[in-house]
Parts: sequence; C-alpha cells; structure tokens
Amino acid sequence: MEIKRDTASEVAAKTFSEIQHWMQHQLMHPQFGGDCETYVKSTSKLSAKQHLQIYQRSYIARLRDCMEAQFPALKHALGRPLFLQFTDLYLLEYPSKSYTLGDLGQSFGKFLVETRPDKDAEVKESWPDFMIELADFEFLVNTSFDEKADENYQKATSKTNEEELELVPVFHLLKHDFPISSYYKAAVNDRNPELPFAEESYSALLRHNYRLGLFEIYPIQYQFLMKFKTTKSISSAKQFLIDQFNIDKKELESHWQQWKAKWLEEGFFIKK
Amino acid sequence: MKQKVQELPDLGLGLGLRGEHFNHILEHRPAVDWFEIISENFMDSGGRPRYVLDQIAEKYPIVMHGVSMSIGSTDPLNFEYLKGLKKLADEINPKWISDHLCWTGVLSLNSHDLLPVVLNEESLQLITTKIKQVQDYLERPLILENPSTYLTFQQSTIPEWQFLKYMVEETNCGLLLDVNNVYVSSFNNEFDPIEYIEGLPFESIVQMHLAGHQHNGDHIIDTHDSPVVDPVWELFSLAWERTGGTSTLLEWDGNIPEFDVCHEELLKAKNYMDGFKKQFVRSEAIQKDEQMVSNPIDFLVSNVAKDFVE
Ligand SMILES: [Fe+2]
Repeated sequence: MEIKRDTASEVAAKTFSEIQHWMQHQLMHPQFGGDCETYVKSTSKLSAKQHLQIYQRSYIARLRDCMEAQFPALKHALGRPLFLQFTDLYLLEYPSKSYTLGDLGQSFGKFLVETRPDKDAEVKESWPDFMIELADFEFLVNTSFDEKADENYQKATSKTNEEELELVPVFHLLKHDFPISSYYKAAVNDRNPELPFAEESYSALLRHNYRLGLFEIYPIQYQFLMKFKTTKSISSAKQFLIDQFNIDKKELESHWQQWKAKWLEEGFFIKK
Repeated sequence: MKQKVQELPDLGLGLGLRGEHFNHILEHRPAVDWFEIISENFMDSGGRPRYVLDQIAEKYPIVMHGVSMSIGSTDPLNFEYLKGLKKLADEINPKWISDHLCWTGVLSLNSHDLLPVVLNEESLQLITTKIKQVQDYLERPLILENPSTYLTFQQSTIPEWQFLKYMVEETNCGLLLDVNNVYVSSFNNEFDPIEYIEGLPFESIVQMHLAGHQHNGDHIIDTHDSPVVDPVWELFSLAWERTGGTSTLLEWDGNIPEFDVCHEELLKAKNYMDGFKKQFVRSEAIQKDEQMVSNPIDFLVSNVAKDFVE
C-alpha cells in the first residue's frame, strides 16, 4: 500500500499515544484547557477548542445521565445540583474502567463514605449515613435486575409442602438504619418523599419472572427469613424464633400461615 | 479465519433492538428482517434483557454491535472483554460482530464515548495489527463502522475513507457504513461526503446504518433520536447503488418512539433503492441545543426503576 505524505511540516510531531493521552486528559479535566491547536484542526465554523468541547460536553453529560439513571432516589434526596456535584467528583476519583456502563456507579457508596463532610468530626451528622445507605441500596437494585440466576423453577403454591419451600434465586434480605425501601419506592414513583429520620427498617429485594420486587418486612420476619436462607428449612427457622425470642409455638404458627400466604403471592418461594 | 466478508449474507432491513420494544416484539412478532443488539448490554446479563434476547434470537437473525472494543486505542486489547464477547457470540450465534473505528480510552479507562482516532501511518499500523489479533481470537471477520466525529487531528494525514480502505486491504475486515455518520462527520470536519462514499471498497461493505441527528447550526450531533433527514437518504441511495444493496439497519436510541414508528422509518429505505438520481443538497432544520449527547445512554443501560413490583 502506498500512502501520500502530508507535505505541511508545521504540524507538531505527536505520537498516536501522546495524542490519546492528551485527549483523555482534556475530557476528564476540561478546566485545564490549553494546547488545542497543537492537536486539533480548526474549521471555518469552529475553532480547535470548540471542536474539542463537543467531546468534553458529551463525556460528562453521558456519564451524568447514567448516574442519574442508576441513582434516581439518591438524586431526589440530594437534589439534582448537589447530586451532580458529587457525581462529577466521583467520576474524577473513580473513572470507569469497565467495558459496561452498568458498573459505573459501583463505587459511589464507597466514595460517599470517603468524602463525607463530617469524616473527621467526633459527632457525626446523620444525613450522610442515609445517603450512603441509599446509594448502596440503589446499586444493589441495579445489579439484582440483571444478575445471573436460573429462573427455570417451579413457583411454590399454598399446596407446596413446607419443607419443599425455597427462596427465589435472586433474594436479598436487607437491614437499614433508615427507611430506605419506602423512601426509594416513593422517590421513583414521583411521590416526592421528604428526607427521613433514622429508623431501622427491614426489607426483601427479590426477582421473580425477571421483575424485581421490593417488600418491607418486620424485624421478626427478617430474623425468620435469615435463618431460612441459611438452613433452607422452615421448621428450623420456626424453631429459631421459638428459642431466641420466646415466642409461643401456636402463636408463631398462626403468624406463619399469614406470612406464608402473603409471601407466596409476592413470589418469595419456589419449590425445591 | 474461515469466513470471508464477501460471503456474509444480505439480511435485508433491520432494527436496533431496544428494551422499550421488548414486549412489542415478543407479543407481535413484527415482520422485521433482523435485529442488531448492543453487545455490552447482554454480555453480562443474567436477567430480563438476556432472557428476552434468547427468545428473539430464536426467531430473527441477530448481529452483535459493540461499543467498547476500543480497537483504535494505543492500550493493548482487553482480552477479558473479548472473552465475554466471544462467549455471547457462541451462545446466540450472530451473523457477524461489529464495532467502531474509534478508541474509548487509554490507561485502562473507559470514557464510554466513541473517540476519533488520528488517521496516519502510525495509527494504521497499530490498528491493523489489533484487527488481525481480534479476528484471530474471534475466528471470524471483524466488521468496523465509521463513527461520527467532531474533530480532526492536526497529525492526521489520511482521509478516513482511505484509512478504511487500507484497513480492509491489510486485514480483510468488513465495513459497516453508517451513512448518517458520514453526513455528520463531513459537516463537522468539512469534507465531501460523496467523495468519501465513492472512495470506499464497496465489496467489503457488509452493512449500513441509518439514523437521525441534531443539527446545531455550526455542528451536528449524532443523537439517534429522530427520523433520518433527506440528505442522509440521498447518501444512502448512493451507497445502495454502489454496493448493489446490503444489510441495512436503522438506529434509534434517544426519545425512542413506538416500535411501529421506528419500523415505518426503516421501511422508507425502500424508496431510495432505485439509484442515486437526486442532486445532493445539504438542507435541514437547525435546533440549537447544547445539551445534546451523542450515543444517548438509552443505548447503553437498561432502566430498572421503570419496571418495579411493589
Ligand atoms: Fe451507527
């Protein structure tokens, strides 16, 4: 193959690699500017800098869009301007190394822990705790939606023998210091929730027929389901409550029948 | 590499597969010839996207179109990525695998943009070497698309069409000619889109892309969020004539309308298959909107919160 050489020699010699390192730096740190004409041609309509700015604007706008899609409730909680300020700093601290945008918000919770304004104060404020819990929860929602799991199962019914019950493959039991689930649902359904006060909350995040479900549960139900998750035995989970919480066997049985009916409907259980 | 680019089938008129249309496609089995998927959206998917894809792949030919190979990066190839790509290909059996003549980042970072490469001897050498590596690894030809570009590097010495031609000669890779991207890039970088298309190696063009864009007056952003404009249809008719017709696909990624609207827009292509007669004129509506993003993210992530059970 024959390639014609450019005779104009005023162009600064830059290697392929130098050009890419320069451009990536420009995308991630647009505030530094400079040196555009060395690398980029101007046209009759736009200067070299304006050409580059199209990429600079797109870079941050695309990643912001993605973060807004991954953290809708946190965006509501912080308000969009503050959310975007955190996002921009996060993207500088943890730029994407993944081939998929699905991972973009992976370290957002960690970043919020590292940068909380009262990090060094002895007495901590509570709102950063809420934001951190919410960020971690929202990322879990994202990963649960698409995590690998065998959904070729038989759904349990009221006729399924209790010892044949098993939890659906995507099933996360969650304990939070704030009412995270109720806040999340209110925020994504445009019910405009106010910032909540600290209050322990328990919930189950599950996937059934490839759709996510989020259900608030009582602390005792959380204990029960935790035990069930590890032992895979309803009778062991019941016995655990009887032993640990001094619950009357008959009373527990009547509660369990109600829980079971509700949870079967909500898609908690499959048949072993 | 067993398969030759010239042996790849003409699939007809296809649409980009988008989450918004999953239910419609499953319920109505629309008469679309084929679908193109964004590979990265399905490589790690173990949820609904992958479940739906498996069903669609049983009924329609599928092509895998990627955005993260970064063939034009001076970083080495990411074999972890290629492994995932190959695994998906083994599972869904696509007609071919494509990506873009672009880079997405260096130092192992991903900007998630399709960045322009400097077009000169040095980059040609490196890129053709990487294309060969990919083709050896995937054991099939790689099909590369001309991206929309918004700048030209001072150090570029080869026009893009010629770069693509050399790439093909050196590696036997195939080309995905995005006629909208030719139009967008030619406006932004002031080159002649007709000369560009006329210079391409037609026999290696495996597929074409059509899409809409946003004209901002002094530049055009490739937003994939509107109908195809007339001058792009005219370029399409030129490319159709020169290639003798090839698999053609409409991309719609922002403000995605009902399935039937996309399908109707795609079928307009039939009106432009009878030869390049019209004179090519650049004229279209201008909308000033600085917030426009190329390759909007609907393209790349699924919206989870839209589909929640309480
Ligand atoms: Fe395209």
